[in-house]
Amino acid sequence: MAKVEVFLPSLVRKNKNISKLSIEASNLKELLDQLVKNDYVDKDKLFDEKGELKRLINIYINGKIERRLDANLNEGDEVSFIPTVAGG
Amino acid sequence: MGGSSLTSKKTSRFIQEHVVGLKCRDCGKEFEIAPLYVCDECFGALDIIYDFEKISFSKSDLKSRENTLWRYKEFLPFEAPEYVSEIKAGFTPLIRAKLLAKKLGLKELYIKNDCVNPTYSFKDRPAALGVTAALSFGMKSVGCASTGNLASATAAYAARVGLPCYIIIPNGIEVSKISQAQSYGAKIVAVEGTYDDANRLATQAAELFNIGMVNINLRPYYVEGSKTLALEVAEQLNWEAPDVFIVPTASGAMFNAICRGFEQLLELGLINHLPKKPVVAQALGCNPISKAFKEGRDYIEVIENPNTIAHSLAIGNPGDGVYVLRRLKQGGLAEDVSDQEIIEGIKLLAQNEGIYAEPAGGVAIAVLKKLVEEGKIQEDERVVCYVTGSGLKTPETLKGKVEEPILIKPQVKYLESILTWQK
Repeated sequence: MAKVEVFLPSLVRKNKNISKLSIEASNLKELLDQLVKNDYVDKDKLFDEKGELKRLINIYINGKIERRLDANLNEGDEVSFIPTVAGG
Repeated sequence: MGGSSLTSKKTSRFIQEHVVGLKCRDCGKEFEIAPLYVCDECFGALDIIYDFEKISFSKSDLKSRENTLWRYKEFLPFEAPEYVSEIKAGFTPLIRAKLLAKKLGLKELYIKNDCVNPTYSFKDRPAALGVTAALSFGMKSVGCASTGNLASATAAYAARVGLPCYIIIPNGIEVSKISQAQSYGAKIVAVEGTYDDANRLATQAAELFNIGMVNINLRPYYVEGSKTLALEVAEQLNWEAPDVFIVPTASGAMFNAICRGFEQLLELGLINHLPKKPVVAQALGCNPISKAFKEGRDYIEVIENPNTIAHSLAIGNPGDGVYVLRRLKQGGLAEDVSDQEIIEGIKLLAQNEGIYAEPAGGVAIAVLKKLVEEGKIQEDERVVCYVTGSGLKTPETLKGKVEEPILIKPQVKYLESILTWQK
């Protein structure tokens, strides 16, 4: 288990007041499960009907895009959810 | 377009009556006018919905209007605040490029010279709209993620309206672009990483610190400024669309905005047809869109480490990339060129037409040359090439690539051997 810092934009979170939180998880799937279970995010917001991460949202671990749900997390990692459509 | 009004009048100054709301480009969900930029269902981009039936517009209306981008108010979400419009962005020259056309084997070539905007790039257009959006929504500060040109444009308009400005850039962009932005009083943060790192941080900053990041949380309004690049070209061609237009492309936002501009002109009957060949021009060292196009993909593979002299196009994860690919599928081309070709493109434009462009302009010219040589642009097609930023912003590009000045003692005899070639 690793304690990671999570940034949740208002677009994905259920609890509108919490944008940053610390969570313990060993991989991305565990992290997402916890976020859903604890009502921080709405599962339907992030995943499509096939259970796949929606195409236009990116998950970053320490600034690198990661779409593999079995990607490992390490102590102190920063995990962010950012829509693709931005910038330029 | 149209429908019932989704505009929340209490929250927005300057907004025009015929602006109905925002609409998701992917799922079609509609939203009130607000500082939103993606759909809360599918994260698709949001576009402004206009109800053109609420307005009357004819070409002759333009005769009495100022030569700025704000002359096309029917196509913009806001009435121009005076202190924004009086800097006079837009309505830049469309120049018939006869010598360059001859050199390349074309009959009718035009350069849309956006180097001559107030901050010397096309970014004056979206920044003017983006900063107006921030004012409209009562935001207390503005900013952007930038590869350089938007930094200066946003900072200049922020200075004019008296808002603090926070710019997030990748470390290593051109010194002259940074000092220009600093001159307007902006706070510059350089990130040890790529533009995409800067963009990600700016996205988070927009939300955490409630900053009007013009190209992020104000993006639907911001892109409307770039749309005027289509409107102006149509007017300057006496209300005809070109056959081909070439756009130096990074995020794809400008390319999409130009396409949308031509589409709206057609919708209102102001032009008779759409351009048949929109062209995306990228640098080989950062070509996520042209690579996807050539490989027949409908998705973008991120370029992790862009490596090109065209820093203003070095966006490895283009925000509008999938939408550009979608448009190209209906007709259009994408091509990329090497740094060497970009430099040749800059020289070709400067030496034949007297326009000194930054590398993005060189990309557009080099792609044009390549597509003509490959027979993908034909001799008799009417072509418009968008040249989007001044070479004075990137003086280091041509260092060592052009002839050095000849140093002489101040006596006329030393000129003889040098200048006699003119005889």
